[in-house]
Amino acid sequence: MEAFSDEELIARYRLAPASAASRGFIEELFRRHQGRVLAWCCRLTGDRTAAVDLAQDVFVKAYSNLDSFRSDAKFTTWLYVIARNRWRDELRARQSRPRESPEAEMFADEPFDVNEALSSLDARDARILVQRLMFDVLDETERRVMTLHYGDEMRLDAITAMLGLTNASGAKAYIVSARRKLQVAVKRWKANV
Amino acid sequence: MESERLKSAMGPGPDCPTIQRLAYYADGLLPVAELQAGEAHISTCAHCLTELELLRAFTTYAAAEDRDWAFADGVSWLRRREVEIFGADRVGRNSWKKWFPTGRLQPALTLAAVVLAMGVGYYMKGPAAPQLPTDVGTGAEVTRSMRVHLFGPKGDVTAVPDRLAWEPVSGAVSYRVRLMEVDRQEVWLGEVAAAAVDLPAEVRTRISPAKTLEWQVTAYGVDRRPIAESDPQRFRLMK
Repeated sequence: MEAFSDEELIARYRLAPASAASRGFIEELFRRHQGRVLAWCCRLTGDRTAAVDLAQDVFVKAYSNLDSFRSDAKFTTWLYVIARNRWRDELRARQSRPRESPEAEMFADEPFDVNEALSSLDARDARILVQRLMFDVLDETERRVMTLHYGDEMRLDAITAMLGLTNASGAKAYIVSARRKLQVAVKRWKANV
Repeated sequence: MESERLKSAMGPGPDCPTIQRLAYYADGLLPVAELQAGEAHISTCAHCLTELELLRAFTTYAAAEDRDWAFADGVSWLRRREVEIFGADRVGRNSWKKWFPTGRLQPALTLAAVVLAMGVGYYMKGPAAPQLPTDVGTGAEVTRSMRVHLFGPKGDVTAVPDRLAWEPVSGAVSYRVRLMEVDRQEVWLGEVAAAAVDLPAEVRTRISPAKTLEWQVTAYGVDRRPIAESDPQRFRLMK
């Protein structure tokens, strides 16, 4: 059974999904990817209990949605979509609980002209400006950290783990430097408007 | 507070593909025209580029990457969870079943849970199927997630706390207490046998007015296995 690809295992399972033999194909498939999902959940949550709960939910959802798997797709990509959507739901739930919201207060006292500049633009223009400035002045890691923190409201420790950042203060350092760069860029932009 | 405009400008925009379309893009399954349009968009969208990076990190994951985490105290934690999933069903305890739908889908979902538990064993031990204990017991202590209930400090406090206290956990012989900044940077780590700990003077001096801190407690059993953990609890010294 180990010789079968992920996609072959699903194809064989689909031949007779109710049979005991087919169950073996799915067991093999899921066993192959337990570590991947568990590690991903652990990086996101930074909490073993939550990670195991989340991983369990991902596999339950994967099993119940197996019919939606396209035979020409890669199983790991499909599994990622389930895990990412499940995490997105989890983030929304956490955001509704103020105690677990991201570190919003961390930079609250620092002046940041980007907020002021964006408030004068409509949503579409604000997005265009921010995306352009991010590509103009931020490096790749800064862009990723800013996107995950502000766009996805991901906690800094989760970003540090997810991106494998090894510097002492992790994602926080990239946020600080990115904010400074954006601050300068916005001042330049405002001067030219 | 950051502006909502900034957050939405860095989040997914109206032109961004869904995660599913992005996955099809990564697998090369989109029609050529959509593939080309996707490429043009993604090259100028920090959000989509980041999503693709996360997807690639997931699909190219190598098991060796997380050995440190897996073989630290996470191993015993996960093994215990594995026993809980199997054990709960065998001993008739149904506290974990509330997490699963009942009815027609239940057999399939139960299978998924069983496969998960076996997979955790596979991840830790290699390809051999995990050996289930024969002495699962009466189920009296089997729960899906044992939690430590924290007392205080909590919320806004008027004086620097000198003590952290929580509800004792049955079977716990020691507790690990972590005091952290809100980004989870550790301020102090302590280990005690009682269900409370006095904060050392040098730690108390680091608790500044208006600065939010959080703390979390993990309970350990007699064999040094973690048996319960609290949610992080925040407090802030008022100015």
